[in-house]
Amino acid sequence: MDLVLRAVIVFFAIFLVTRVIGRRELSTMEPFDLILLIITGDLMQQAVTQSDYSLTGGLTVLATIALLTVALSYISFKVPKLRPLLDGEPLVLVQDGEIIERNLRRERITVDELLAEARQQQVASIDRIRFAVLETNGRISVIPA
Amino acid sequence: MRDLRSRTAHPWVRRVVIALFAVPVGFAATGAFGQPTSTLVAGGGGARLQVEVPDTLRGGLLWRARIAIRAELAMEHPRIVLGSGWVESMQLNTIEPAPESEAARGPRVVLSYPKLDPGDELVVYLQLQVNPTAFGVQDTSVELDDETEPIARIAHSTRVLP
Repeated sequence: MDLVLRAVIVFFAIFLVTRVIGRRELSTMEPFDLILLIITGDLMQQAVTQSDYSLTGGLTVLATIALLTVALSYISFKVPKLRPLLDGEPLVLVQDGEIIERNLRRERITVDELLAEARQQQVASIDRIRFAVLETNGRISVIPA
Repeated sequence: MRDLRSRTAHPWVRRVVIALFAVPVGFAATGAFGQPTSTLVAGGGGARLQVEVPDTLRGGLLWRARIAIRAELAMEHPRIVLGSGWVESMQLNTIEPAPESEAARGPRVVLSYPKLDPGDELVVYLQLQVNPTAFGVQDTSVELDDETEPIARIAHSTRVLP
């Protein structure tokens, strides 16, 4: 019982952390993101399984996490109103060549990072962007003018 | 079209597999994989023996047992005799209060305590950890003796899951 309960609590705790830290961190692997990833994995493993070294315990946690993932995915699919909460919403960063500074600040994205993303998608400058959108998975889609 | 034909069954296969994941989770949630504790009582021979011990454990788990003795008649040499499973597949970390002496009786362990007068109660706590490599059914029976005379016995086995 306690094993399932701990797995559920940790699942939602990690979900909350990933939603709070910002989606940009999900798609990049900067040094701080790497630290967060390693520390989270190590700490949460101890919190879930504690001194349990058993195969039974490991498989139970795996099944619990898998069920929660499928359940949340299904809820997100079936209940559109919950989608912004569960998956987040796309955020427009550039519209018709104009940078939306407020949205960049909100996600802690610099203009240099935005330009780098644009260059990777074969767009040379901001004024040649019709839309740049931060997607829910943390990637930036650039639509040229 | 030929390449896509076999894809029609995939969603159902996946759904069945996901549904199967709920089986171990359900068992675990009901405590079938450990470690709810059973309370067992025996008596009649001049003392009452009560043991709290889990029925199921998993490798590596820390757990606790409680053995309570209430003397109805005087016991000169109360002894708790633990089944072999208490030590064979477990790390016995602590026994509180510590016995005056410990001895072996075949594969079993005998813990000796001071005299108990009628109405006296002795509560012994054992802190243990399951060896990570242990699995199977372990003899976690408890017997109460007055020196070598059996007073009460609780037959119990604990299932250790791999």
